Amino acid sequence: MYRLEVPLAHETEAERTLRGEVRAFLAQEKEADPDTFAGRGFDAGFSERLGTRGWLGMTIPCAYGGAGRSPVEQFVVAEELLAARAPIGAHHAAERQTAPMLLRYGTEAQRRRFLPEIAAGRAGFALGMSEPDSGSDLASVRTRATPDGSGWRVTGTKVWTSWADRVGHAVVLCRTSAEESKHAGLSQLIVDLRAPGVDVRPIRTLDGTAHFCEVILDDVVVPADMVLGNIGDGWKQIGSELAYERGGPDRWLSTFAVYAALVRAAPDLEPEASVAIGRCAAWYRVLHALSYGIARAVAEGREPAVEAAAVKDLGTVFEQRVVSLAREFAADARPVPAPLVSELATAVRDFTLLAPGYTIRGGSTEILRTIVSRELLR
Amino acid sequence: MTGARSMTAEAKVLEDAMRRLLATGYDTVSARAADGEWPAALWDSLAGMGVPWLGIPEERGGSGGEVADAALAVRVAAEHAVPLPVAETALLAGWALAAAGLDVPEGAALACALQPLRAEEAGELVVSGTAGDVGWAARCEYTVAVAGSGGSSRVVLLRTADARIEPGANIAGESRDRLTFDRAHPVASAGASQHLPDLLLARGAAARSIAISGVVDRVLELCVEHARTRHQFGKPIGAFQAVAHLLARIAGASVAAQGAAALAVRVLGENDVSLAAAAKIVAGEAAGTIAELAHQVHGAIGMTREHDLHRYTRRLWAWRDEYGSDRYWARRSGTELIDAGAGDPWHDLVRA
Repeated sequence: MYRLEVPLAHETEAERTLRGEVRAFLAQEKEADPDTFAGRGFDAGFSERLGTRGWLGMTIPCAYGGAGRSPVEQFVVAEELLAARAPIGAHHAAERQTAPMLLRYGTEAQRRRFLPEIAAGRAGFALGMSEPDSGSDLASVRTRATPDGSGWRVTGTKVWTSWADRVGHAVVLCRTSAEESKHAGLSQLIVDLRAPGVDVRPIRTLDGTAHFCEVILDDVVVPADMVLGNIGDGWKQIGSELAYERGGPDRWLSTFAVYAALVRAAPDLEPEASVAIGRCAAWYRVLHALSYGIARAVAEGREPAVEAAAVKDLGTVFEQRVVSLAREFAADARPVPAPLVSELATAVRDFTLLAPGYTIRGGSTEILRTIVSRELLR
Repeated sequence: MTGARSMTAEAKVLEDAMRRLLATGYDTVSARAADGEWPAALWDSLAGMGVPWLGIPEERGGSGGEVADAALAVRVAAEHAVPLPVAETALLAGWALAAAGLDVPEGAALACALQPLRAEEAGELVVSGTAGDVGWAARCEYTVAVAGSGGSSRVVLLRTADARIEPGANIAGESRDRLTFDRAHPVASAGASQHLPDLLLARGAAARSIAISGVVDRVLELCVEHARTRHQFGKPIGAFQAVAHLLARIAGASVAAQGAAALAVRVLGENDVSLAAAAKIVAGEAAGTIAELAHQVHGAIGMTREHDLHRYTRRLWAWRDEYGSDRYWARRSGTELIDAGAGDPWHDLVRA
């Protein structure tokens, strides 16, 4: 039987020092502008300041403008940013997905062009994966790229591309060959979102905001040198990408602001709130250890894809549970609740509208459980 | 998992020997028949290997090795539902004696009483009081307890035979006895910290979290095996997505238990009570989830004593409540985090 083995290890002294430095930086940022951490999401200036510190795209080698540090150090920084609810939208996808992809599959010219800009926080990327008719069944995408001279012409519609209205490029998964099997005919192209034929429309979500976009590509010209990796290898390329995306701290820290509000309001809440706080704290500590273990495994060159799927399942279900546990104490019947209780109620309300997405994005719970159970029954 | 398994080469040799012993020398049929009884031959074999005294320095009469070695032994014993006080002897009673500078009685199984007893100094030290749910006490020649008088505490080594023993058992059929001492004379004693009873509780919680992580691995194995071999509607039940997803949830909870066990090993090394809370809460919740889902996967056969599943699920139910339930630890650590006050709640969880 397949055994899920998450490597578990201690943080090093150097990692703890880094954590402390990031905390000091975030405290400074908060002093300069408290609203930075109120759920702004996208802040190009913040991303650039992070880049200046060398805390963006940390695993990018120095030769390409990065810091040449380990995935574990990048994990430490990511954890701190997420727990503080820092605005990471301008660089998050580029750092987490595009940079490793460029390092693995990109051409030398692509690396030299994009990696230093990503590490500096000046180049954001959107991920053109899902389509209106292709969600969990991603290999069924219909966006088509047809050869045109030396390059390609791309037509199709991508949805759920975060911040496509504000970043410069998207990595688009598209069909470059119709004859081959569903998985074999896919490729990844780097599309300039300001090119003629690109139309970006916001998708408003439950909370009323619109950081997701619909990207309509109508006969968009993509030069031949903007193919990422090999033609026909698109499926294989994104497969390895999803493996290490799943075990990250963004899969269990999304609702940390609700937990923090619960702890702050607790002196004004019924005493039972302490039980909820204790349970959440325990899961944060354990998920931190598991997620750290996965980052370590990636740093050592392993691909713990099944373990990462299991941790994402645990983590995202937990993120939602934080909101429902907090809700039990937030609904205060008093006509004038204490200010910290009002803040808790606001956090619960805001995150109630976001929480359903956690067990859908990046591989739904059902897809994750299918991945894990297939491995168990293999 | 490398948490409870980070080890030296000697520990690896010991683990392999223990696994060989349990795979061949330990008859599950007799274990089933003798639910609640003391498997003397197995104890002798483990004692011959030095397992019950791992992590206790040799100069104090232990087997030496690291505390992680003892944790690993507890885990392996749990994988086989071994009904013996390995954790109690190595991680609780033996540890308390050695930490107080006392020698561990040679070759003896040790019970550990959690509730403090009363010490009286009348020329010589005598100890009185009652302790409940003492694991395997009736089978242990000695019981280690904390005895207090006024502001001071002592670790005391008592002859269990000096107590009135009311035998009991947890729902796994493991011996949990009630001991009443009346002016008993300790065999040995030494001064102890006021915090010792609490540390023993935390170490007990850690030990049970580690044991839970061993049992859940075995339960997952049983579930996968059953889903593969049990056929209904003309195919193995694992072919149904509804059943396959139960397996995935069990596997997920087992990963959580592994994480909890890794924290628990640190508790044993660093005596950090807040980590004990985290470990026991997550291990306890995972134990409940896994027991529930495992029975669902197994269907009717899992409800019988004929099938092996009960040896494991009954332990999950028992152990999640021993040394503080998840709710006990949640209330306690939640209260501490609230009292920690004005700082950043994240910084209280993950230290820089």
